[in-house]
Amino acid sequence: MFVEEESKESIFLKQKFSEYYSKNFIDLPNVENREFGFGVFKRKIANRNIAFRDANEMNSFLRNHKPLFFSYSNAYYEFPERRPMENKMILGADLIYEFDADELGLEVEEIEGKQWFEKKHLDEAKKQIFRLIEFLENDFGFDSKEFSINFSGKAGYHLHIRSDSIKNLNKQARIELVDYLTGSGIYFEKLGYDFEKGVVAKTKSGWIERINSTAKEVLKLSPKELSIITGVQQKKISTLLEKKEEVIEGINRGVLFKLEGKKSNEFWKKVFQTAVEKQLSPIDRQTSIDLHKIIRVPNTLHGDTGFVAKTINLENLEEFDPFVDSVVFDNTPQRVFIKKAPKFTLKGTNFGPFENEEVEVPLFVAIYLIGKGAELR
Amino acid sequence: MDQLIFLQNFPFTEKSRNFLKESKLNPEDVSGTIIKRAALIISRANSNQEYVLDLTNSSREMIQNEIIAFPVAKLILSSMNTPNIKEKFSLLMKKKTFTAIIHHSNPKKIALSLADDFGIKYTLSDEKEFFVEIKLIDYLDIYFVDDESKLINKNVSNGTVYLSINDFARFLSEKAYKKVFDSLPIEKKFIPKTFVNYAKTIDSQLSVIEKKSFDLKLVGKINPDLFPPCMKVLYSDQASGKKLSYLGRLVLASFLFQLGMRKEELLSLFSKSPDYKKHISEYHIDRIYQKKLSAPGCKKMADYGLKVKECENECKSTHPVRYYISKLRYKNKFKKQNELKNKEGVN
Repeated sequence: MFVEEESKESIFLKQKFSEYYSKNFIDLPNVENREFGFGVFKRKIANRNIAFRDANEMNSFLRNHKPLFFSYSNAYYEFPERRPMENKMILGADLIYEFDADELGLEVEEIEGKQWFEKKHLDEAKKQIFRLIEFLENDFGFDSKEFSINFSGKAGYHLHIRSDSIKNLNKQARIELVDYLTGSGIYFEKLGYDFEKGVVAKTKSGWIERINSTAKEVLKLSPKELSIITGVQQKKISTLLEKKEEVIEGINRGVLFKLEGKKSNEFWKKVFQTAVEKQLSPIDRQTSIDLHKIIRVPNTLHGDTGFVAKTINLENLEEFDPFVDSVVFDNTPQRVFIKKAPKFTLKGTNFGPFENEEVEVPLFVAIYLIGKGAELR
Repeated sequence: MDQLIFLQNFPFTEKSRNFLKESKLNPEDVSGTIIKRAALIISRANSNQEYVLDLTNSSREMIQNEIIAFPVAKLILSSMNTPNIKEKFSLLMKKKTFTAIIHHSNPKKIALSLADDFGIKYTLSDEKEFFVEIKLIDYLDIYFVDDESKLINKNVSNGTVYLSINDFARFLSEKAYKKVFDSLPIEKKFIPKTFVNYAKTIDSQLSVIEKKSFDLKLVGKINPDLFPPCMKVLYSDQASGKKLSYLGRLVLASFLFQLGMRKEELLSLFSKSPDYKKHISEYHIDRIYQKKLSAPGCKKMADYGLKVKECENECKSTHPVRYYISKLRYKNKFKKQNELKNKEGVN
């Protein structure tokens, strides 16, 4: 059994989390068939292979054990508490897609190993959720009524698909879906493109439509930018782009204009590759493929921020602001000592920057800061 | 006759199963000829060869024998210990299915008959580039053994996958793989004792063939004949599908990595392990490549218990890689001298 380090910050957070769980009932489909895991101060998963008879038992656990992180399996099992995995007897699994702002190549301020995400970072992750939904609906034909979207509680979003039609997909099938979404293993020739002969694929396909329309956007870049992308001389690109409208019209008709010299094939390949890169969905592969992964239970608290991993209706997603809508603790004054924190905004109010100072802040800010290493005073 | 040829081409179908049911054949009564055909199918599967018959001049009885040989082969290989024989047999059926559809005089007709037998729901496509349309969820019900089947390179729109006849044949062959793979192994209680004996005989014959091919074959540019004795044993055991210890595998893999073996080749070699699990092997091989692990020296090999008695007489080196390089240099020098001599002779 893991021996927890019980600092006063840990005790404080647990107390506050318990109060939250006493007032908020957490519901989840198929509780009895899920495996659960929980985390303690500074450790997201300290224990797993836990099972509950129903949502009441699960909520009682949340109130009494006061976990700082609480996760569940996307898989359903006949015996979720059994070990090792093969003894659990898998019955099926949801499809889960995850975007984390720190995986999107964005610049995030980091202080002593802690990342300070801002609204702009999470907006970027939100954009990816919208793109993913476009793939799921238009290409895969999934019904958005089957989607359940939630904020991760820290740096991203999760999209769960809980439907009978996908529950029995094998691991390979899940890999295929991920490869499709992330553009992995795409072969233009197999989709009907032939850059040598100047042929653009035109058949009915989500990816082909996406690639062709984005390729036309790529062509709107300056010759200098296109030269950097394609490695072809700027002069040759300029000559081609003198008749840009015709070139774009050519793509609509399924024809590529030939570039002067020998690099025409290479140029078009790079243009279309860039189109793929701009359109792919950068989901977390492991989350979607690993049938035994456990992931944050929607509407539970995140021990690094004190934010709730809030479930969001698709129609409210655009407006959702995690730094406002996921803050659940009140304004009770609380003193904390902070080594270093940048300026940040919670519930529409700016706080910080702080450096080696003891301050009195509202409870929701204190909890947020404790997750980043602040000490209780 | 056409119906019989269909059953022989696709012996895993419901039609074939019904044919066998109606024939009321007792597995213990099958003839020696059928056993031999079954053994041949298994052997072809093990060596990744195709199994396609030209049935134009075959008698009815010959075709019937071929149909019966399929379940007999399944019964036999269910008792076999040859590594990955289940996967290889399923793969042989996959290839056979694809070939039978594509080379048929009417590929579309035969593909639809097979799809009907599998119970696949499809719609004939109105789009001129495609033959059929199937639901995405149905398309995903395969194991994607072949990269050609990858979803990303198919035309997918609104939950429908659009397939040309070639794509459809590939999909059906993947379905055949899944059907055969999922039906194996057959429970022991259904296997006649005589078949268990056949299984043992075939196991030992295949093992001999594997060892012989190890003696003959060079993997890529690496020459196993130049391996030090300790590595020769590990390599030979691995190539013939024996279960190596964890250390044995690690040492062999890092040695081959140092000699420049490619990841795919290493994975293919380790796929012969009786307890082979692709993702675990991939993980370990990736780690070796990432960490650039070196094979241990001879002293450590002795500590690990991997030294063999031939090491005393044949090996004067202190490291397996050094041994290999010196042998390779000697061989190349010898080869060059011979080439030079031949050249001088010609002049």
